Amino acid sequence: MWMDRLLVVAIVAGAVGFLVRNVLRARRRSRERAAGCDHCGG
Amino acid sequence: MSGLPQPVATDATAPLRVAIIGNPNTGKTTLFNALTGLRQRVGNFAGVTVERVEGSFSMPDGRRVTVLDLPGSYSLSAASPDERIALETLLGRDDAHWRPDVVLVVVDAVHLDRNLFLASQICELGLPVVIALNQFDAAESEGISIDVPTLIYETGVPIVPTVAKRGEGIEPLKQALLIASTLPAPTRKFLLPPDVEAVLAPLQGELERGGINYAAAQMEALRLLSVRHDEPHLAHIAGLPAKLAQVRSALDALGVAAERLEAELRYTWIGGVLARSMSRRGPSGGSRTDRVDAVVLHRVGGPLLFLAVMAVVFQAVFSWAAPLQDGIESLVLALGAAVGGLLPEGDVQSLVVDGVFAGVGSVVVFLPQIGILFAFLSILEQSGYMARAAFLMDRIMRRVGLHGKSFIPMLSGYACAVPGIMATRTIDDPKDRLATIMVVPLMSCSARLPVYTLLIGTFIPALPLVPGLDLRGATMLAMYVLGTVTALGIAALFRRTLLKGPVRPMILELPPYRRPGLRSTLVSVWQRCAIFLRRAGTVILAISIVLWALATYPRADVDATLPEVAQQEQQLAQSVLGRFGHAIEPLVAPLGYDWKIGVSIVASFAAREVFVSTMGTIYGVGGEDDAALSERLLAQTRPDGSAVYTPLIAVGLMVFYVYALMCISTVAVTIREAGGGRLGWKWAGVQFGYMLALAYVGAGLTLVIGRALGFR
Repeated sequence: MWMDRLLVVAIVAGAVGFLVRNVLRARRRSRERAAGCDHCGG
Repeated sequence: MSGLPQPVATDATAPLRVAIIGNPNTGKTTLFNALTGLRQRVGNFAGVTVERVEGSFSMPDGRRVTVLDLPGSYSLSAASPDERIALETLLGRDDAHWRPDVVLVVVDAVHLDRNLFLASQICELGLPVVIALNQFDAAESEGISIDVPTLIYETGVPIVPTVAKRGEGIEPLKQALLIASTLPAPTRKFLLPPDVEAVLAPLQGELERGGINYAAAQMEALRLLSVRHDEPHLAHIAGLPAKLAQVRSALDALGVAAERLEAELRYTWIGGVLARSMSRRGPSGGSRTDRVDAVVLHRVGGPLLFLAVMAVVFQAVFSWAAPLQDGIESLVLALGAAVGGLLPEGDVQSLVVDGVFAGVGSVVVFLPQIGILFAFLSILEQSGYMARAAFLMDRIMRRVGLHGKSFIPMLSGYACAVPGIMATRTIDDPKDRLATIMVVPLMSCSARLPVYTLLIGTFIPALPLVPGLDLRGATMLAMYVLGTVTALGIAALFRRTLLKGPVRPMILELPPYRRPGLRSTLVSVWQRCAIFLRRAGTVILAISIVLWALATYPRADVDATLPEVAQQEQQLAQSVLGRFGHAIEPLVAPLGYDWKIGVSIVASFAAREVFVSTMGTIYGVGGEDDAALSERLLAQTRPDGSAVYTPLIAVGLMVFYVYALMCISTVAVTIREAGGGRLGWKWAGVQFGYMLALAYVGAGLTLVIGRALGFR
């Protein structure tokens, strides 16, 4: 029973971590380009 | 510095760096794909490539060749951000990219007269050049005969006839690139009148002092005479504007029109070259393309034909995808049951079956629709029909105050708003560009397809309307038309208020009709399917797992005397997701939705397909395991016994999804492309806000009007 719960906690934590990492990466990318990209005019 | 061309010394072991450039829609990207084996998206209209794309291949002797695909450009004087990239790269003024060892100029053999303008400019940059005479077969079939050796003699550069879409001429082209890297760079092939040359000399000297090489300074001095916009790559030369003004007035005194000088000199040279190297058989007018265009571009018939074509496409999405979808659905259900059977009963089993399989599985079943839609769009693009659609739309675009160029980004928006917004880089005017960015997400993207298909397939009957079109296909078409018409209306509003400005005419090149290539079609379909599956396997999988947890915990005390389904409902209602859903229910109740739809809408702020996977997870946790999502939706009832989902609610929900900006990636790209920083955030906020308001009001009005008309 506790093994089952532990596995669920690990999987859900992994999923949350993946989503948070995605959001942070998108934010960083957006900020880097926004700093002044000569090529895209951004 | 000597005025003579210098042999280019290249290290035979170092990778050879090649840049591909040419007029828009000459087949540059097809050639790039043929050379490198990569799969960049191609289309039969201008503006498909807006960013530099790099690839590489190996010569038979093992030498690596790196290839850079530059955006299409009619001349080196273009003003739009994407076209400026090309000139900066070729002049070596681009810190982010290498200067090429060889420039490969792709010219359309059918339109040599216009294409040689850019080629003649590039031949004066002091770099070795190879010309690919692409679409050579199309020229032959139009009765154009090109004497390639004479053309080589006249231009002074290696020229290779190619048919990129069939891979013809690719090997000789590779050899020519290698040989060209050891040859001297070509030089200007026409002479300036001596008095003009004398007037231009100080300007040329100023450019050379600014670090531009002799040959390129010669080209730039002539080119700058016709340029009225700022050139960022020359901004470091302080004395340039004054020198340029002096030269212009000196030319004026000589009676020479400075702005027209370059065009007159180059086109006179091109006319002479073509007179000696090209001949045309038979009558030049009345080609097959012209005859087809007389019908396709007809003022009344053209738009009707376009609507009919799109109706056929959407009907096919339903009719052809149905058996494939059923197959995938059965497979997902069977796989879910098999995996669930292997796991011991408990939370992990529920997570896998109700979270992963019900969530991700409910989205993956729409793969056939994605594949069929993009096969059609790819065929229409490649055939040249989409460029005609842009032409038909230009009249409307101008009326709403948008530049005709805005249609291509809007067209890309049918696939995904992100590349659509990136494609606005081809638009020169910042206000035109911003207005287009603001409305691109209103075009129904592929992420909406699972939502539309689920709701139409479940609630709209397949009533035949006209031969080949039933109510389902027509409803889908209506959703796409609704998005497009609203986009035009909103653009008109922006252009008359926040983004006021003059309407500029567009020069649109209509490409000849071409037979779509099977490989290009398959590549396009595969790319869209791969993107869809990757999203399903990453973001949607992760969200499904999180939503499953929110729909499962905390464990509640349920009434064990109730039937199992009722117990599951009770548990779901007391979970985090259930409580949150009930809290926001008053917000969505005016639209006729229950808390489960409300939760699914909130979850789909991450990505639109998540609406479907959330429904899959919610009904997976709280219902039978062996039924498809559509069957579960049909079976849902309210406490009073009435159906939760009716055709009217389904149409209202679809209207909501036509308008709502439920996509984090689009918000991020709008922030970046609208200027970044505070300005970018401001425009992204305006975009998100107006689209959400439209969605809410649109869905509410649908319900009110539908009920007034007697629908349930």
